[in-house]
Order: sequence, then C-alpha cells, then structure tokens
Amino acid sequence: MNKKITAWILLFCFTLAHAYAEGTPKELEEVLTGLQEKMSKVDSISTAFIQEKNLAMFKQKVILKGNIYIQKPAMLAWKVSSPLRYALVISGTDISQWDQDSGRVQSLSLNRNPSFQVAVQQMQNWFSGSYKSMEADYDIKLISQQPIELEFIPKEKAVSANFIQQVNVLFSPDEHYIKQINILEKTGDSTLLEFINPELNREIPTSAWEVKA
Amino acid sequence: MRYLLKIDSFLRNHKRMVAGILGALILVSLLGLKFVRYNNNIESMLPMDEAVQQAMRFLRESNFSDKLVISLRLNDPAYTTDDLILAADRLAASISSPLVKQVTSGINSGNFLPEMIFFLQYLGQLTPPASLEDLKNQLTPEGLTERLAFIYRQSLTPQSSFLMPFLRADPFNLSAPLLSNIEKLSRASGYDVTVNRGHFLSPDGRSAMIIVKTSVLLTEGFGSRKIIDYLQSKLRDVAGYINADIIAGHMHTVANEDTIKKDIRLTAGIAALGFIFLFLFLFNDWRALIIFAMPLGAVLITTLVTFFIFGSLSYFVIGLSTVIAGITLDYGIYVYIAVRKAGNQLATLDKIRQPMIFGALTTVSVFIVFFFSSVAGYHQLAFFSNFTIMLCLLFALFILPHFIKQEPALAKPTQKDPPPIPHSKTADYSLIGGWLVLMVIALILSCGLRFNSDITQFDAVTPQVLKSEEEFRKNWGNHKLPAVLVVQAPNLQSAYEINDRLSRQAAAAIGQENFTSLAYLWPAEADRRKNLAAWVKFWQPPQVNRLKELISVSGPLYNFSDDAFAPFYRILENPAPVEIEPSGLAFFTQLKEQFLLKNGAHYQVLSYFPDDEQFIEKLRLIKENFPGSFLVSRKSFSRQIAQALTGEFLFLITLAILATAGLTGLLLKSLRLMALASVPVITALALTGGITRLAGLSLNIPSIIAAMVVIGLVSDYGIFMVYYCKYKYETGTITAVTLAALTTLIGAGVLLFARHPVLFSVGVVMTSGVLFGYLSSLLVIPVLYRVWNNKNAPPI
Repeated sequence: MNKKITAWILLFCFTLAHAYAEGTPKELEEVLTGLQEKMSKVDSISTAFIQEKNLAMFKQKVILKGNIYIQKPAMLAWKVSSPLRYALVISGTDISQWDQDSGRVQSLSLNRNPSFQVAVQQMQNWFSGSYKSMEADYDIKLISQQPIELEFIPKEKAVSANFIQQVNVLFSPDEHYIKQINILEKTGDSTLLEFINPELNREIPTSAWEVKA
Repeated sequence: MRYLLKIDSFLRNHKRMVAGILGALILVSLLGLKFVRYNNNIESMLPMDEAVQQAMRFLRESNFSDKLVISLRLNDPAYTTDDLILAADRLAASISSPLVKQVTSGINSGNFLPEMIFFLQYLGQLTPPASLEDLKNQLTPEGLTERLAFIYRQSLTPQSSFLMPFLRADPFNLSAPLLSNIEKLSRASGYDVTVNRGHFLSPDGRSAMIIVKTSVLLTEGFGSRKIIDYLQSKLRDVAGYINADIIAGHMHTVANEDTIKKDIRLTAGIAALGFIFLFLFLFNDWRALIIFAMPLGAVLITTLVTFFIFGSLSYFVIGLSTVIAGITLDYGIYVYIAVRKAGNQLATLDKIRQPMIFGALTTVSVFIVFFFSSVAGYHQLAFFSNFTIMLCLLFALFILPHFIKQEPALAKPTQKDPPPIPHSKTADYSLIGGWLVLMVIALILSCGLRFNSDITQFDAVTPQVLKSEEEFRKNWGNHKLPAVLVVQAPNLQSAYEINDRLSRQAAAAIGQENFTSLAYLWPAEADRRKNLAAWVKFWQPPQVNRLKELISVSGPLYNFSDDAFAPFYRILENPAPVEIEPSGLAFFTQLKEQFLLKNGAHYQVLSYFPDDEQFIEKLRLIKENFPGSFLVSRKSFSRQIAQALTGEFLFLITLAILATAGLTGLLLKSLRLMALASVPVITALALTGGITRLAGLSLNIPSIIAAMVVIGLVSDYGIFMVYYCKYKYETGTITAVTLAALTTLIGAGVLLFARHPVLFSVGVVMTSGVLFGYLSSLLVIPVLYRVWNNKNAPPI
C-alpha cells in the first residue's frame, strides 16, 4: 500500500515538475510577446546554414550547406553550395530556381505551387517572429527559458499537419534570431537546420537575389 | 332592357344601402391587405417551355441557388493575412441560424497530403495505357539514372518535406496529369481561389471567402430578405479594417424587390397627385371624387380576390396596378361627362352603354388572351386586370349615375366638346398626307427594331450591389459564370458512363482545355478496368524485378536506400480494386459536390465550359446524342426563353388583334367603320415602334405585353370616335375621350419614373402608345370619316 502511495506521490511530483519545465500559459504568452517584439525589429537576415536530413529515402544523412537571405516583407533566397549548387529566390509571389545539374532557371508562381507555398510559409513563420499568430495553426509549448526553446505541434486542420509531427525552435541567447530548427516529419524523417553567423539588419547584396549567382 | 330598368330602379331606390355595402366591402379589402402574401418569384414569369423549365428546375435543385458568398477584404495595409484569417474564422463561427445549413471558410487541409498519397493506389486504373508506353523509355539504365538525379535534386529544395512522400510513392510522376486535373476541377467555378492555412484566400492573400449554404433558394423573395438581413447583421460586427460584402443571387432578388416597392410607392404617389390635379382643375366637383374612388376600390377588392384564388400576389402585377387604375378610370369619366351633360336618365346611359361595354370588352379580350400564355404569371395579370375592369365597368354603369346630377349651370367648358375645327378639303388631305408620311417613317424605323432576349436587362440591381460585385471580380479573378452541360442517368454507374462518352466528344469538339469534366479525373468503370488490366500486364513480376535491379545499380550513385521506393512497390503489389467511386477521400467528396448531384431518382453529372456561343452551338449538337442531357447557360437560357415566347407572343398578338377587330366589327357592323376604328391601333403601334427605335431601346417581352394592352385601350378611343362621328350624340365624347386618355397617360406615364426596367419598358410603350392612339383618334378619324365615309358630313 505504502509503495502505491509513494508511486502516486512520485508520479504527481514528476507531472508537476514536467508542467513547470514546460512553462505555464502566462509565461508562454510573455515569451512569445517578447520574441515578437525583438524579432519585429529585424528587417533583414543573412546567414549561413547547415542542414542535416535523416530521410528514409537515403542511406546516409544528407548534409546541405549554404546561405539564406531574408528581406522583410516578401523576399527570400535559399542557396545551397554543397553537395550540389542549388538556388531558390522568392520575390513576392514569383519564384525562380536553378540547379547546377540541369543548369536551367525555372520560373514559377507561388500561388500555383502549393508545395512551395507551404515551405515558404513555414520559413516566413519561423523568421518573422509573429509566433502569437501561429497559435491558430500550432499548439506551442515553452520547452526552456534559457536559452528559449519552443515546441510547435501542428493542429489537426493546419496544412503543416500534412507532413510535420513536431518542430522545435531554439533561439540565440539574445533572442534576436533563431539558432536551430529541428523538424520531425510524420514519415519519421527529420531535418536539423542550424544557422551560423547570422547578420541582422545588414544590407543584403543584390547578387543574393540573383538565382544563378 | 327590362332587366336594366329593374336594376336601375332598384339601385336608384336603394343607393345608400348599395353604397354602404360597397364601402364595407372596400374597407374589408383594405384591412385584408395585411394578410395578403406577395411573391417576387421570377419562375412564375417564365414560359412552360420544356427547355426553360428544365434549366430552371436544375438551377433550383442544384447547389448553385442555395449558396451565398461572403467576401472579406483587408482595407488597411497595417493588417496581414493572419488578421484576415482570424476575422474570417470569427465571422464563420458567429453564423448560426435555422436558415443556414452550412458555413465553409476553407477546407480541412491537414489531411490533404495523406489523402493524395492514398489516392495513388488508384494509379493503375487512372493511368491510360499510352502513359505506360512512355514509361518504357524511363525504364532503362540511363533513363532511371536521370530520374533518380532529379529526385535527389528535389531533396535539396526547401519544399522537400512536402515532395518526398509523393516521390517515394510515384517516382515516375505518373500522377502529374491527375494532380493537374484536380487543380483544374477545383477551379471549375471560375474563381481564382488559393487555399492558405485551410482558408479560401485570394492570390494576394488580402481577401478571404466564406461560403454560406442556405435553405433559401434565390428565387424566394421573402426568404432571401431574411437571410440577407441576418448575414448583414453579422457583417456589422466585423472589424473596421475589413470590408465585408455578400455576393449572391439573393442580393439581386432583394434589390429587385426593393426597387419595385420603391417604384410602386413613387408611381402611386405621382399618379395620385396627377389625379388630384385633374380633379381640382378640370372637374371641380366633389362628386367627381367617386370617379377616382372607383378604380381604387376595385383594385382593393381585386387584390383580395386574386390572393384568394392564386394564393399569393406577384409584385409585377401590383406594379402595373396604376396602369390598370388609369385604364378603368375611363369608364367613370365617360359616364360622368355624359350624365353631367345630358342627365342620368336611362336614355342618356343608353347612348354610351354600347360603346362603353364594347370598349371595355376589347380591353378585356386583350387581357383574356394572356390566359392562353404558358407563363403562369400572365394568368394572374389577366385575372387581376379583367376583374378590375369589369368591377369598374359595373360601378360606372349602374352605381355612379345615381350619385351624379345634370347641372348645366355649373357645366364647365371642359365638359363640352371643343368647338368644331374649321376644315377644308386641302386641310383634310394635308392632315391625311402628313399622317401617312409619319406612318411610313415610323414603320421604316420600326423595321430596325431589335428584340432583346437577355433576362438580365430586367435586373434592377442597386449600384451598391454592382460595386460589391465589381470589387469581388477584381479580387477573385475576372470571374465569368461558366455554362453547364448536364447528363443524367438512373444510377451512378451509368451516369459516369454517359458522362465519360459525352466528355470525350465534347473535348474533341471544343478542346479539353475548355471543358472541365469529372471524367478526366475519374473515368467510367469500364475504362478504369481496361486501364488496370493494362497496368497489371505492364507491371508483371519480371518488370518489377527489372526496376528493382536498375535502382540497385543507379541508386547508390545518389545515396538512395534499398527501400527508397517501397511505397511504390506496395502500390504495384496491391492496386486498389475497381469501385464506382473512391471511398474515404474527403477531397474527392468535396470536389464531387460541384460535379455530381442526386435529384430524386436521378444522378446528374455536370461539366463546365465557357459560356460562349461557339461552344454552346457545338455542345448542343453533341448533347442531342445523349437523351436526358441538357445545357444550362445564361446566354442559352435567354435564347430558350426568347424562342419559347416569340412564337407564343405572335400567337397571342394575333388573337388580341382578332378579338379587338371582332368586337369592333360586332359593334360597328361595317368594314369601313372598323378600318376607321383601327386607325389609333395602327398609329399607336407604328409610332411606338419608331420612338422605341429612336430612343435606342429594343423590344422585349414586357414591352410586347404593354403593346397588347395599348391595342385594347386605343381601340376604345377608335370605337368612341367612330360612334360619335356616326351618331353625333351630345354626350361629350371628345371631352370624355380626352380625359380618359389623360388619366390613362397619368397611370402609364408615372412608370417613366420607375427604376425597375420592366415597369419602365411598360411605361415607355404605354405612354407613347396611348398618346399617339389618342391624337390619331381625335385628329385622323374625323377627317378620314369625312373624306372616306361621308363627304358631306358636318364639321366635327
């Protein structure tokens, strides 16, 4: 009997501790508001990145290296330098992409390509800092406060629920930019995206917006 | 005559009692107005033609007429798509009413990807054998290496998470045509809608769309007002940074009803003022009030009787009540003038009774002709008009004389006929010549008249609704309603089968890019069986093994794992069985809603195409080979109505002319006099046609109806004038005809102030017709009578 009571007390303490570690709704609100405030001051980001993909399709991890350029409100460039050169530039609703293998530039409209739309929407969501509005599509949890780490689980009706199981976002200690994004997909695939040497509010060179550069 | 004497004597002795009974009857009718139900259902104004009724039935039973769209647009650049989505969700959640069956602000997009991958199980039955032939080129070492390189490159893109499950289940992109067809089918409505975060958004992300499904059909006037009022009350709570508009046929129904109500108030007000003016300045006798009270009382009684017989009263009929009141005033005027001039003895009434009865009968006969129309609404118009005319005629002949006395001392010049116009042969011939020239010009002009069959010309929509629709088109693509080709069958399988065959022929005739059919995504069962047989034959174990072998060689070049394409192999091993429809797929069910209907015992499959004449013509020929199939298009609908009504109206006009001529002949008993009496009819029709053309207007159904009424009215003037020329009774005929024309002109002329195109059309034709009919009866008939009938007749 005593053992049972002890087990219940331990379970209760564990649940309490876990709940505390996850952060109360009030703390979460404060954190989201603080992040939104800080990140709203960022108009442009240029950063190097390393992306590690664990995909069931491939025998080994796929490791991509490259740079990301973001100019608010609607410009984004995703440039991969390794293992293969690939570039994607989005300006408003216009998409241009190029790859080293084919050597062709392909122009598309964001409105007519749901897969791009979803991906770009995701990136804009993470970098815009407007996490409060993301509460409509995600259940958000505060995993840690120092540094801030948030967990996003897509709600049933959200588009991202099609393929995302969970996203964890880790912020820089000064909370001005994202340090790491970890995406767990429904298929079991996972992607870890790490940002290196980010530069905030610096003028982005025009060459960054050239798809073949 | 004996009976008339008895009636006359009874009424003379009991006039107070009769007046009391009549007054009570009118009062009851007035109070009864509160319980009268009105309707604004345009269906009652359509002919019973099979094609028209079929199109109307389809629109009523399909899911087109029960939907309203709420368009939300951000009007402040400081707010974003997120704010818009939030507002759309709040609004959608707040809409809850027994009138609302469903509110949709988007689709559940959370399952779209798994569903699409599940749908790939049907790849075998949806891939035509020709595509398998093309696939052979890829199943070579070079072809496969190239394909794997492409898939590898896709893994480098940001959208790879979205693409990878697809590429694993369909490495050869065999589903591309299916996905393209799904996209095309989802755009069948013509709107440029994107789905963003599960919401219907415009391409710029600044507009959101909410679709409200209602139990109210757009043809229901009162229901439309209720649902619009309800939704507008909800829109008032929408945040200030959003403009919200309702886009629906229901808005047109309400706008039309509002316009016609305003018109009725305005025209009735102006007509009342006109009649009061006439009373004050021309009659100046309190008894003359009875003349004006008679049509009013008759209209009130008729309204109640019509309601009891027909169950409801059309706004169109009520809108024309001022015209009918103007017509029926004539009888009171004829009697009033005659009695004031010659006393209220039976002898006086005898002189005017015959032309009055025949005049009324010609008008009644024109309205009776409408009972032969296939348009139910015209039956009500015919009943309403004839009942009012007959009541007024009875009032005028039997009751009015007992309330008026001959008072020569008070007789005004208006009550006497005007002094004779000095005439000479030259003047007579000049007038006849002038009239003939005018007629020739008018007839030439009339020949160029065009018939406008477009029913939208009668849409009295408000500028506010037009502005909202224009804004909507701007935000959601230049939306043009497509035409629909419908096939029907007693069961689902046959419906798909017929649709498949028809779609093939349609695509060959107008191009597949112009024809959106469910058959392109989901062919008939027989076709899918053939496809699956070819697929199974193609993917025999040796072929699958060969593919696996090739991948094991080329795969490592790009780091592909052994089970990289395991989902594809599973599809090859277990293709989905052939079913009538795929089951458990929400996207298919949602897509199907636009393309498949179950109406009673029938299934209808709908295909869409641009509403262009060239396509309609080609598809009309094709549908002839498919019994039960039919076309629904705005253009085609207008033409069907025009075709159905043109023949019918030719018949009705002929009937009206024959009836008028027959009655005139019966009264005048002379071909010459009949010809003279027809002068106002011919003049009115020719000059009205000429004026309509000069005014840049075209002929339409309401104007033809009005022309028929004009025939009945102006033939009265002809009868009276010929009667007067022949018998020279001193009963104030010219004054009476003038006043009769004046009151009718007031009743019809006020319609020129109407905003509703139907009432305005009627106003133009009736005003010009009555005016020219009156002028010709007064100026041309006496001259022609002198010249042609009796050259020695005294001046008139």
